Amino acid sequence: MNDSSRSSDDEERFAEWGRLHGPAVRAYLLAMVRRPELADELAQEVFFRAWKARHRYWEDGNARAYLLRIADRLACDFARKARREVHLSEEAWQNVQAAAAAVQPADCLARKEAIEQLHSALDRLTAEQRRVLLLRYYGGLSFSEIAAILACPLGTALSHCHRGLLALRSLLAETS
Amino acid sequence: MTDEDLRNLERQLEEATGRDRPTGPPLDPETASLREAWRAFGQLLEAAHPLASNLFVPRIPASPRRRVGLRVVGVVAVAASLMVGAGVLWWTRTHPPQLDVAAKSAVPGTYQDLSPRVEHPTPAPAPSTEWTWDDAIDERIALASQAVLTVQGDELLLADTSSSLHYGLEQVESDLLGSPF
Repeated sequence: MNDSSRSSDDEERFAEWGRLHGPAVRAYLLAMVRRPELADELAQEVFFRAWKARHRYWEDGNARAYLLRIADRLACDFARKARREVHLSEEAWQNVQAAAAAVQPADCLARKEAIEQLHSALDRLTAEQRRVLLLRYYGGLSFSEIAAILACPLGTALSHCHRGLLALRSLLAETS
Repeated sequence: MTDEDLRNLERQLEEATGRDRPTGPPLDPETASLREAWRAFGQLLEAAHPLASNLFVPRIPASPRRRVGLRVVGVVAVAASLMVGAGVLWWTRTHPPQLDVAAKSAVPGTYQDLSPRVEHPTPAPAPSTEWTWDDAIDERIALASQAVLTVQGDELLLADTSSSLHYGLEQVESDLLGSPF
């Protein structure tokens, strides 16, 4: 196989990765960093890094796990940096996000409310619980894969998931 | 936590958080309540950030070959620009500006100042806006007109002389042609 056809195959596979896993990666990042423009930027960075190391991972199997591992690392780096930086208040970002996402005022309000509820639910979780639940939801990863991404034993990953679900359950009980 | 406990917890959490739970025996109350919390969490995520609205198109970085191609194009463009610049510079140096305006507007130390200079006599003072009669200029004009008349007279005299010489030569020629020699 010559270089040009291999390059074309790579590009096709990369585009397929974007189509299949791009929305999930972006949604994961959005839930982690909570800012759409930043999630877009990080998602592009995820795919850029994946492209650079593509030959190691084409045949590795679970592409989504691979991409989410990169996304998780970037989100953690961002969270570390964000502690040292000053940002707009969370409420201001929610207003910007809701106004940008929806056109109709009713949609805007509903979306804003949903975002507020989600953020209050995420705030109930620890960072590790958030990571486990979001990786499970968006990636459909096994707990062994999640433990590998978090670089922790399987029991620890299971414990984070269990406690996170208990926290969500109590929140659900409170709201209902 | 024993290995057995770990396996049970993993199974329970997989059932509670599985995407599509196959039909099977009903879940125990604890697992069912965890699944309910999981579903509510999923609904929150979908309501806030619907996956369908997550339009995302990854940008494919340019391949090395494309980068090399772009580099070549860039180098060629820079070389062409330099050649055009050198040509303009050469043209400017070999064709100095003839207008006084260009020489006067050249600022020392600038590109325009690099062109060869054309020496000009000291410019006359700017004429006054008020009209005054200048006798000196009048006299110089009169002298110049007399000089012109003198030259014209000399030319006429010279023309007469040349015509009489021409006439004499014609006579000599006719005499020679008419002689028996």
